[in-house]
Amino acid sequence: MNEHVTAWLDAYQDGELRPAEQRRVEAHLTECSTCREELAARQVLSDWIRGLPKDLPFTPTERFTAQVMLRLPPRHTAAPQTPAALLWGLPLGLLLICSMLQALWGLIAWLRFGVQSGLLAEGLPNPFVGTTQSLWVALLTVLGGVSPSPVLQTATQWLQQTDRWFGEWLGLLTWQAQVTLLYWVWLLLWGWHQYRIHPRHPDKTEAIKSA
Amino acid sequence: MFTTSEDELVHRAQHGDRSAFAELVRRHHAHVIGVVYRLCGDPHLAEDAAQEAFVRAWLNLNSYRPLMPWRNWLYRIAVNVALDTLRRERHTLAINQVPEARDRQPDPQALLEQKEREHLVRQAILALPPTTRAVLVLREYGGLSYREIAEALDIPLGTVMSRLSTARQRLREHLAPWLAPQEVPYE
Ligand SMILES: [Zn+2]
Repeated sequence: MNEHVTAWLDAYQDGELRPAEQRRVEAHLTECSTCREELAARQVLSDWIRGLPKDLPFTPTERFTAQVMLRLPPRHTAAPQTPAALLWGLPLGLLLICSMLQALWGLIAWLRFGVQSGLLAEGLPNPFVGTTQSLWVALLTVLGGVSPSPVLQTATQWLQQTDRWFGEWLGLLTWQAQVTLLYWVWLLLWGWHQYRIHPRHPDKTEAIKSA
Repeated sequence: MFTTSEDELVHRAQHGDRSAFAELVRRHHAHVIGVVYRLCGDPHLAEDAAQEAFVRAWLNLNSYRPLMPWRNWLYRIAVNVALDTLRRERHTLAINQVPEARDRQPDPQALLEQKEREHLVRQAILALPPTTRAVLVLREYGGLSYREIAEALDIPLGTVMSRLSTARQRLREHLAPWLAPQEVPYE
């Protein structure tokens, strides 16, 4: 007689044997009463285990589902990388814009120098000859045309005044500090926004304990 | 009546459709509670752990890939929640009150009463170490294959087999007086 197949009986009973192995076990079972008894005992045990009644005071399906749905926090459907991308993308963009502005600033300074030293012809519009206004105000003034309407003139003057005041204040900060400031403002806004969407994250442990 | 396929429900839920997820809860809650209950042994803890499992499933839905059936993925979460619960509530769950079979005067006739037997089996299962119990429960109540159990518990196939074998062996030892083997003629 072959060796007993006790070690294979679990897998045999669970239908996990390969066909060849299964045939071998079956062949052994036909001639070995010890292994047959062993298998029978396992089957009785399995019947006992599976036969346990579902004697639970289960919550009915709909109520259980409703309870789960109530516990579900709102989910950020888009993959969670979006906030991260925003978190780093935005300041990076700011930095890029800032360095572009710096480059333009250099160009303007060079143009001014050209005009003031007479190296460049008078073809340049008037605002570029001005002294302290920042680039975007100069551009806006240019857009207004050579002889803007009185309303636009007043507005431009007001804009230039504000710009001068703001420029003095901002002049106290280096451009790096400006970017940092903008970034912190952005972070604060972002945090506030997140807080409004998810007032608080549910604490799993607490939820289980409180039930 | 038209029923939506499970894959589609999961897909919709992944895109934030709460009603699709509710349908998934409806379809699977009985099995999840069943498995978790057999692991915890306490109906109230089981229901709460099952709810918690669904909440975690919802939160992690985007990490699910259809490489394994969703049900197995859910079982994996449920088993982890159940094991967490067991660790936390170890002192409150009286899982070591297993009757010492051999110390008793066995009275087979009386003991084989249905209720008594159920009680014995339940206690014997609860006396198993949690990780061993998890394998047995997924096999016997979850109906998972060895490979699926390995996936759900993130353990090697060989470990599944050895734990299952250990679990059954211990149950047989506990229940030996009532599991009298009989000579079975082979058909
Ligand atoms: Zn044999």
